[in-house]
Amino acid sequence: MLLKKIGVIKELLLPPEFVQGEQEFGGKGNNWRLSYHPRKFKDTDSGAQIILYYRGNPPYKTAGDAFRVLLTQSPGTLFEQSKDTNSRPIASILKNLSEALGPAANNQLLNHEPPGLSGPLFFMQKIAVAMVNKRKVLALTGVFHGTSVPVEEFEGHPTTSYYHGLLFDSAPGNQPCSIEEIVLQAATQAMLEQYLPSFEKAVASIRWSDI
Amino acid sequence: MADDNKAAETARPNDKVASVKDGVDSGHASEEAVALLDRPTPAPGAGVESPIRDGSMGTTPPASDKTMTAYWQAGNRINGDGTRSTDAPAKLNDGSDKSDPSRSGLESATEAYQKTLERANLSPKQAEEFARLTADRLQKAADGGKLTGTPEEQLNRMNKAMSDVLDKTGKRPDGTLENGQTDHLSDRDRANLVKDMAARQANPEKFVNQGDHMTCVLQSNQKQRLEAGDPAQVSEQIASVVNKGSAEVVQKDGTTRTVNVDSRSFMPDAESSVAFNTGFHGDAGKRSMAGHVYDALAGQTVADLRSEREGKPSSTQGLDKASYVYMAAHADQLGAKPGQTSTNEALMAKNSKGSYDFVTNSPGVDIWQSAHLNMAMGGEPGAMFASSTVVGDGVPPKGANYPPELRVTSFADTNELRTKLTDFQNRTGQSAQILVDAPYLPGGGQSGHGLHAMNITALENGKFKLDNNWASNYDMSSVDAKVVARATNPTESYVPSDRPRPADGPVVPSHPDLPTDRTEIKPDTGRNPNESVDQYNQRLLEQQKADEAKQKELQEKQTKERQKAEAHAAWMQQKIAAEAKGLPFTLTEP
Repeated sequence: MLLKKIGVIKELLLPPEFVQGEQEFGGKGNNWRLSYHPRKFKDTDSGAQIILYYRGNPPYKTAGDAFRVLLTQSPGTLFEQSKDTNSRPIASILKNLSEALGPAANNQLLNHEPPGLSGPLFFMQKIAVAMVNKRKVLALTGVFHGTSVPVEEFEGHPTTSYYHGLLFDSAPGNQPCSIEEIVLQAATQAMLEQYLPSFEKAVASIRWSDI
Repeated sequence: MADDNKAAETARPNDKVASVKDGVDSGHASEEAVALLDRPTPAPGAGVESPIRDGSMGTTPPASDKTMTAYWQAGNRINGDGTRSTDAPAKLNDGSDKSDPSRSGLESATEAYQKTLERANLSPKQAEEFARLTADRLQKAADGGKLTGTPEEQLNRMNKAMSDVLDKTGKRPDGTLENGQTDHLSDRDRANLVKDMAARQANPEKFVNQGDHMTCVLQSNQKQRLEAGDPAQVSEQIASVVNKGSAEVVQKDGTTRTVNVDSRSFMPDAESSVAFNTGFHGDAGKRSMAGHVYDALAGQTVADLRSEREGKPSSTQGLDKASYVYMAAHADQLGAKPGQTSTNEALMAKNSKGSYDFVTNSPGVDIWQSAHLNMAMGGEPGAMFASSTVVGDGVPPKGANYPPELRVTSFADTNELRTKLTDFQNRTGQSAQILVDAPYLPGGGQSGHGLHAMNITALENGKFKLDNNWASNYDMSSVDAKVVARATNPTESYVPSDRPRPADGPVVPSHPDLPTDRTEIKPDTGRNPNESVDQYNQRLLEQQKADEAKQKELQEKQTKERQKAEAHAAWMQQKIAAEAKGLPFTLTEP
């Protein structure tokens, strides 16, 4: 399926097995949430989906500025949970980004509360700056989970979803910074890995309206 | 979490602890607040100089003073502690009393209010500005006869409510809320709440914002209530929720509901945990603590009304009995699935196992439920406006168990809207809530549908003011009728050019795919208006086929070009090789 004119995305070709799911517009600003999922999943919560998303409003200026500064970095991995033992440098960067990351900002690198009502909502596994057809994007990978669910209980828990997403500045040089997102979300790690190639193929097909 | 559940399960609406309410805990909390905030702590109402100084608590003016006699007869008697007597309900001020004593009382009340705001760590300058703006607004409403009680009474009540928030008045000695739930708010959160409440009371238009939440209906309702009528009641209800875990919501006819709110629902989230500041929570449209708590209360009220209509138990019987629970935040605690594109709010329904099923990621309100909320909250009748193409004559659907007197104000066109809106404004001093199709607001992208509630005012120049609950740059201070018509009447929204229209009028309003009176007010479908599901799917299919054909053509072209380039490269290699060996090369260039 060829998608057109979604924010700064001029064209994006979804793999053939993906069909249109829930589409939401308006209500929180100029927001949109366009979901697509493999035909075989009727219930997207227990399956996988690709979501094109805009929260509807720009982040607060300081967070937006920090996001832009981060995207001036050369493409490369900034943090990998399984390799980096010292998370302080990345935590410092994330603190400045805060709101720009959306719900992913409530992660274990910034929120050190134990599982519970105040615990983190997102387990950050990897952060990278990547290039998508001449546009720099911030790539995040991790696990969304109930704040009371400990790491060892993520898999199979009904509130868990595995996430890989790209956040990008849709109006570089203009104020305010406007962050759009494309998300792959799946109920299990295996499912995320299964659809990651499809997601990457779709991302590689993106043609930007301003580049 | 287990403790939270236990607390919630033991919640009872009338489980009051008299000694706590009577001051034991509040006295202690007051001292604690002083120490933490390092501010002087005036007693609630301190500094408020009563304008009445004669005997009998100053409530008996001389017979010659007709103004004051009429004033007290209207039920505005003040007790010795500065509170309003409850033996007679206060009535709307008719604006006739503009004498000096009232003014000086307002000055004192404003000063005391300002001091309380400073206790919440607002700068003296900001506290003074908020207090002054609030007093001016209240006076204006009173002058127009649109205020319950007097401005100073209103300010005193706001002052008390905010002091109660800071002093934690009403909490149990063990630190739990009056209904037994865990108190998740820190002193900092309470200070943020007071600052936000003060900002909202001072300037509802700027500070009543929904942030990144699906609560337009709830915030629109709050904005109306703050504009005129009894704005202090909003502060009192918010204070009650954070101290007691519940609040009483009262209809105009006196019907009262005790709404118990899950204390996790109003525990700060990403936006409300940010220290209150006018840029973030005002200009940028984020939701701070007072907005968050109000959403939790109004959202649970919506959920309780749903239970009532379905004949099921509500939070009034205790949170553990509630058939529906609305979580303004932290919905994952009840089993909702969080994610990057989720706001972590949800309406949850209790199932037979005693746990909760996810219903929707919003309060789940359609236009009728919105009107029912307005009624339950003591709002003005007919405060919710919508196009007659959506709500017909404004009478709720039969069999849905709405109160028979419930009405949505319907309008056929913008002329009728203007007439009814002007009447409503003159009668209440409030803007109206209006149902719009958000993508068809200016700059909305005109793609798909998303029902949204916002506030509207008719201007004297014939235009309209549309006040959003998003960031201030989304407010439209003066728009033409055609803009309003386009956003409020889905049949006017968008008609695909290939769709035949009746020659003698607009598209049939009852078309199945337009937003209806039962459509949830939240971001919605990407389907075009006037297009059935089958038509929509067919269009998508055709679009997909066309796109795939185009893509195939493009790929074939690229393949041919690549093959041509490869053939040329091969020819060139052969030519170079032949020339290097001094052999003749006669192959034609491809």
